[in-house]
Amino acid sequence: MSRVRFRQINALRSDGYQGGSQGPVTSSFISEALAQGQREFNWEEREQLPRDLGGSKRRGIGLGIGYHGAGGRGYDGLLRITPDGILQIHSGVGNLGTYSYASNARTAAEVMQIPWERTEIHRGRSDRHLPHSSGQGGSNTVFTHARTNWVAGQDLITKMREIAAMDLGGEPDDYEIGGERVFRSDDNSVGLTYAQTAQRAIDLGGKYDGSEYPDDLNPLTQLAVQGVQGTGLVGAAKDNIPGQGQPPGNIIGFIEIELDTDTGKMDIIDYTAVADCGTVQHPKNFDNAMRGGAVWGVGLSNLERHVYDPQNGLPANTGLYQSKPPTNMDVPVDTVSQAVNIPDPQNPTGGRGIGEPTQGAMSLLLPAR
Amino acid sequence: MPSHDVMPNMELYQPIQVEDALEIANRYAERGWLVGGGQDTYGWLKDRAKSVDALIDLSAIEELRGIRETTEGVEIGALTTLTEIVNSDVLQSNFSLLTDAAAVVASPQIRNIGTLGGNVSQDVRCWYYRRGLSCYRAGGNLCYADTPQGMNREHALFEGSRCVAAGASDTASALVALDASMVIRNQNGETVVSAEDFFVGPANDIINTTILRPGDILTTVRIPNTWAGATFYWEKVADRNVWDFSLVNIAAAFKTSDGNITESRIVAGAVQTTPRRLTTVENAIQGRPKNQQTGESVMTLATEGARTLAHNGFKVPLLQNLVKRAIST
Ligand SMILES: Cc1cc2nc3c(=O)[nH]c(=O)nc-3n(C[C@H](O)[C@H](O)[C@H](O)COP(=O)(O)OP(=O)(O)OC[C@H]3O[C@@H](n4cnc5c(N)ncnc54)[C@H](O)[C@@H]3O)c2cc1C
Ligand code: SF4
Repeated sequence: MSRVRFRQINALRSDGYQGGSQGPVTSSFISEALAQGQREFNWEEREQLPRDLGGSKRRGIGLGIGYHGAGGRGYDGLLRITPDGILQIHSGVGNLGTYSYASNARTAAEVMQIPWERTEIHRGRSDRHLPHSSGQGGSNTVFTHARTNWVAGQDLITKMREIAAMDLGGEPDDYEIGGERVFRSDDNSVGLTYAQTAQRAIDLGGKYDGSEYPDDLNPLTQLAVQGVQGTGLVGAAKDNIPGQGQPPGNIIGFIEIELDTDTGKMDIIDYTAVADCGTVQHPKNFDNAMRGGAVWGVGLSNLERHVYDPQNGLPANTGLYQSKPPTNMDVPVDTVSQAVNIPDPQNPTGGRGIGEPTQGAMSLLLPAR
Repeated sequence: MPSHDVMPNMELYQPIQVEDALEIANRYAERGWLVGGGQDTYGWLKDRAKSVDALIDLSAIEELRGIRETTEGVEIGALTTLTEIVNSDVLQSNFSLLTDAAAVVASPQIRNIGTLGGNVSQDVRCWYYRRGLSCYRAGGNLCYADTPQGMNREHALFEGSRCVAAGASDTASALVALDASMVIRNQNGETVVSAEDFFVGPANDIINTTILRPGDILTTVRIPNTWAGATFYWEKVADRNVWDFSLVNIAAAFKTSDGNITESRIVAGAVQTTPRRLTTVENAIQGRPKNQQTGESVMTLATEGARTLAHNGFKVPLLQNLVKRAIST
């Protein structure tokens, strides 16, 4: 049986189970990723190529799958529209250098149909009134905080429609949003700008300006809402989106290497990776994560070592060069990174994380044959 | 192991004449430290693993820089950077063994500032010693690396004598293969020694890797015309393709007639503290065709007498294979 087919049969599917406790997953399309990668990499053709390249050189072809739990649920979102019409996005997500707090904030802008330039992100310090958020452990935030920003956005829209109905007549359901306004669906000349709803929220107080908030918010988020109370129209909500299971971050990789059996050195000739991470939320960040993770994987599987002298308990890696992270001469000039791009049904914007598994998939260069 | 962001407090001298440098070096003796590019020096001092009273920065002494053709060969000032060596037309066309070796030292940044004199005079990279432990080489009375549990993957196969540290310089192997000589000055005058005698192993001196003593300055490296334009082979195997020391390297020079080897110098690096001349192999291939068959038939001679440690056994087949390749290619 082909190595690809073998994995397709055994790989995690949407109705499969994962981890020690064998819990369900939100969705999983590894088989589709394998099929896409196989095509892109020309696997079948390459499998037929000779392994002996003459002299001490041998060709090896490998494939591998990386998996990592990629998201949580039940955190809070906090958004505001201020009287200048700006969407204020509060995020407790940290920054490992991937700036995912910003890509997740885009969900809020999308839900509110507001240009990115008309938003402002508040992050990095708790005195900026940040909601209870997940840690930024690599793959976590895409699924988790697209959802929190989405629920907080829904809360803002609900409140806007209520304000519009109060002031302009009719029922909240008669109103929709677009172009930074809330307006009647049957007559879009009747409406309020976002800026006007913000001012009205301040006048109305109560749940509109953050004086009142849902009991199920985490105490940290409650403090944050108290901090912004009275500054505009406040949307604050806990992620209670129904569903269950772990959102998986999946990636498959195909690799071709050349091994020099005289020296033990290997060159990576080609690397193609396909992620199954739901809808790609931020193409550039996705590409960075895929390539950066692959470089890291080269180091973890092939170059980096954690050396301790067991007799004296001394670490040998006391400097960066001794830790041997890969250099640009140790990795291929170009790699192929793609995504299956099938939305996850449990995230309104369809994304799941992709961070750690990118390293695991690259480690397949070791068993390449 | 303490790590510091700043240098310790020291005097800094920046002489522009060799004579002044010699006088300062003589005055401070073992409390002074010569600096070329500083790429070996600064690690020691910043980590506080070694300390001195004064740095004597040689980089402003013009007389110690540059590559000159002479009637006997080429003279390279000890302060010439590795990048200048790599880019030298005269070295490339006659002594590409040296330019090939210099081209894979460390990283481009280090080659831009590191000097030939500093490269050949650098200390061993044994990590126990570098972290400041009081081992034999540091004046203590034990070796941490040569124990059943020592982490000694990078260490020596040959000539261990209490210390089993491997030499770190890539250019050293090439210079020995090219039969270079080293010009050393001190306040008493000038001495010229062959590169082979410049490097010293622990059996003769467990503290120093060269014959340089406080007050000495390496001023020039001379490469004779003897091997100009010979058939050279250089190969370095390191974990990474840049920014990494040799696990083993091989520098070889061959003279051939009708495809047969008439004369050769084959030198292995990083297998003992000094560059190791493989004279048994050189003798065995004398008069034989320079081809794979010859390479394969003599490769095991290269490791006769090797004593492997717990983690460096891979260096045995690696050295044999590099010798085979040098002769076959
Ligand atoms: C991360 C890293 C990786 C490296 N990888 C490699 C590698 O792959 N291959 C390799 O060969 N090297 C490697 N090195 C070592 C580096 O190449 C050498 O440290 C450098 O070439 C030394 O040159 P320098 O002029 O900077 O030496 P300096 O630090 O200035 O001097 C080194 C020693 O030589 C003495 N010295 C300098 N000039 C003279 C002189 N004219 N006369 C007498 N004594 C002198 C100094 O007192 C000092 O003890 C690496 C170093 C680092 C930090
Ligand atoms: S090998 Fe040499 S330098 Fe290393 S610990 Fe032993 S004595 Fe010290």
